[in-house]
Amino acid sequence: MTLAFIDKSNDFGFGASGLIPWINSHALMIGDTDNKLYIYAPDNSQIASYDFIMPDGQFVNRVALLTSASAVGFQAHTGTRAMSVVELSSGFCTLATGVVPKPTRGLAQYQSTAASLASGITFVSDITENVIYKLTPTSITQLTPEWLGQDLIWGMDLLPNGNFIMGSSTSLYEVDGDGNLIKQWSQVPISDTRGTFNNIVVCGDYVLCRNGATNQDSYITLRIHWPTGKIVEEAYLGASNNFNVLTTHGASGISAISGRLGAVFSESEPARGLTYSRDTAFIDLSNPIDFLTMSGNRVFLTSSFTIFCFSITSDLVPTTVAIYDDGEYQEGRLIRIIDDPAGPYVYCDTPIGAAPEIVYAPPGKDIIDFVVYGKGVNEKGEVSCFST
Amino acid sequence: MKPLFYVNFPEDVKYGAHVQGEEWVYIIGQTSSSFPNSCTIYRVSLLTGNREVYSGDSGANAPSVNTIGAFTIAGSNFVITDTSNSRQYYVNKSAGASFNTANGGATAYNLQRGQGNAYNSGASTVLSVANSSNTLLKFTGTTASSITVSSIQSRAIIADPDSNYWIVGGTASNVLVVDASGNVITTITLPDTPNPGTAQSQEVSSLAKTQGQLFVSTINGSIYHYDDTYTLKNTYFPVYSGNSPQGGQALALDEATGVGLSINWDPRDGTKNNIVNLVQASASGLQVMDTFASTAIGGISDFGLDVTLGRAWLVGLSEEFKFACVLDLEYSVDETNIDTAIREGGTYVPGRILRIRDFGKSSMVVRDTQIDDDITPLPERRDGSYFEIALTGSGPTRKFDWRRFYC
Repeated sequence: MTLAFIDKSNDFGFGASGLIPWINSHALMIGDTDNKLYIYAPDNSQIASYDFIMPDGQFVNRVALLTSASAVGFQAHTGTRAMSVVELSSGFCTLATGVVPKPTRGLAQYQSTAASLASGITFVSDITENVIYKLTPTSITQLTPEWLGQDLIWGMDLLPNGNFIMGSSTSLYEVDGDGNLIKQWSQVPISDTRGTFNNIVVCGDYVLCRNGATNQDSYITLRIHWPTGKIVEEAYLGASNNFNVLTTHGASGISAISGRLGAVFSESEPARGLTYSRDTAFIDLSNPIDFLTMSGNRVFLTSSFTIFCFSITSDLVPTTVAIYDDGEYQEGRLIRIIDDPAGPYVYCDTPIGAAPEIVYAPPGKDIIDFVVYGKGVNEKGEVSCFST
Repeated sequence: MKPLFYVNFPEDVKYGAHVQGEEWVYIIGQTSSSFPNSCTIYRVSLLTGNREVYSGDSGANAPSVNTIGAFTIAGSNFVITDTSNSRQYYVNKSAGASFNTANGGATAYNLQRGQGNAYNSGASTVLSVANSSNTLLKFTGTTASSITVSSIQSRAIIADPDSNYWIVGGTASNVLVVDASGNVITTITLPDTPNPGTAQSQEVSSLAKTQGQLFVSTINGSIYHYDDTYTLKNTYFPVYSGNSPQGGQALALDEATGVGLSINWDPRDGTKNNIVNLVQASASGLQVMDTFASTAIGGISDFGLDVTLGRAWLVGLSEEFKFACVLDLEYSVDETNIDTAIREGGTYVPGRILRIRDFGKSSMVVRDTQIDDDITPLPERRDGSYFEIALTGSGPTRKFDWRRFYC
């Protein structure tokens, strides 16, 4: 893991990263209190800055990418809580503007947005009202979905199948690009936290989220296999109301996890468990980490006046795992063992859905895959060996 | 893992000491002005939860202990270090009534968690972390002194179960193996990480060694696993990290079996919300087997476990009370032989046996053995569910089979 950083005199808002086509590089776009939008390269050098003020006359506090050529800017803390879609390729110009009807801090929440660069759809939650907003490069639409009832959406992310996963105070919802409910999930973790599902990030076949009431001290991080919905792991990455910030790399299964108050940035492989760290960095911060965003093998995060960029190693090997019996795919469990010369160890122990799944493995290893399925006397298993 | 007994105390309690296999855990009162004596040692039964005043002294030998820095059992004595002066106290464990004082020439450091002193029976000596750098307190018999150790501000110390040495964790990403005279035998440096400006040092919060494997936890919440050559094997990040030295991770492992506890604590408020993980450590790393969390047990300041009794103990100061808590590990280390064999076409053949302990949602390789062409008994811990995989041959002729068993 390598690190670059930049200090500024102003206070950054929340940003978003993506592959910016005209520089052919992953970069961070971020608002600032000086009424500008900035684009920073992975080495944190400034690529561009644009004068941009929201329709209510305020600075941009929150940025999400809609497509690689357009973005949406949010202003949240003061004023009328505006949203503006802006086009990047030709400089910044307002294409569509929406004004949230009530003051809300939802637009300022980290991970209250999720964007599909493929479909150009972004959803935004409003944590003071039971509505969500659907944004495209040319429109902003307010939705009041029946499936949400009077509940609020606290966090969301994009699933590998193009749908969105959203968390409320009671449930996780899988939602399609039109806002239709695909699946509702409402399990209670073993701990006594029982609170809001937030800080939701998708990493490969897993949904990571925190669960805890806003004013409780207990927050646990759940690793849920999706779409089976099985809780694979409950880890206390955050013990307090000072919540963690998470971000993940959906393609490779590598995630970056950070404490809200700074200090530790951990690069993990969720298939191996949230508590395993393949690399760790310690950042001596005087301000909390505001957010993390990952694009390619770059992780950007800000802490008030500073932007950090980590370069991580995305070297996992994708393997396809399926359980096929009686003419159809079966739901089961994969125990993947790394047959290391120093001694074999379990790399991951994960549910497998009734369909082929991509499970990542470290390169250059001898692997023993053991799948089991069925219950009781009908339990069956298969063993296979291969190298990556 | 579940709580069996909560025990309340009339004064703050911070440290405990226990001898493996014995019923009692000894817990020392924290303040000099509290009921009933100047300094009181209690004991709590790991089997019944009963609390007794084991030793108290308000007489001429009563120590004016302001803050207990460390507490351990050294053979027939309790050894107590004081963070307010250069004295150490010892109490004959069997007599159990009278405190005696020795001047060690240096004061102890007030640890937020245990491991402030450690007794190495092979060297018949207690070493304690000191408030001043490059110094350790030494206690042999009833004689206290201080020794010089090169380049460490000590923050945790354990006796090396595999030698007459001690392992000392410091504030500057450093871990030393030292002898009773303070000579440095081995130096371990925790890995550097990228950081703007000056690299941030990590402070060691606890140390644990089992089966030749050293585990080092830090106040940043990481755990580092070193093998028997002190080569880094694994890094774990199981806990929230704050940017001040108040939170993090602490470990206690049974030296023989690797069963242990890891404690996460809240960096904001030491009285709240500690998380207790039951872990299994081995040469392949650290596996969390179970987790226990309760607002009733916040502020854990010392803890340990006894795998023979199947109990763990916690000492602390929660929002609600000054407590000791006894947990049922619900995990047996007793072993029983389970026969295995590999047959092809009615004939026993040699091959490789892998056994995997199944915890339900997680699993761990616990055995990797080559067996001959016969029925072979292999021991496993009781009260567990296991997968067994048999492998024969290699390459395209490799064959596999498996079974599940309970024992």
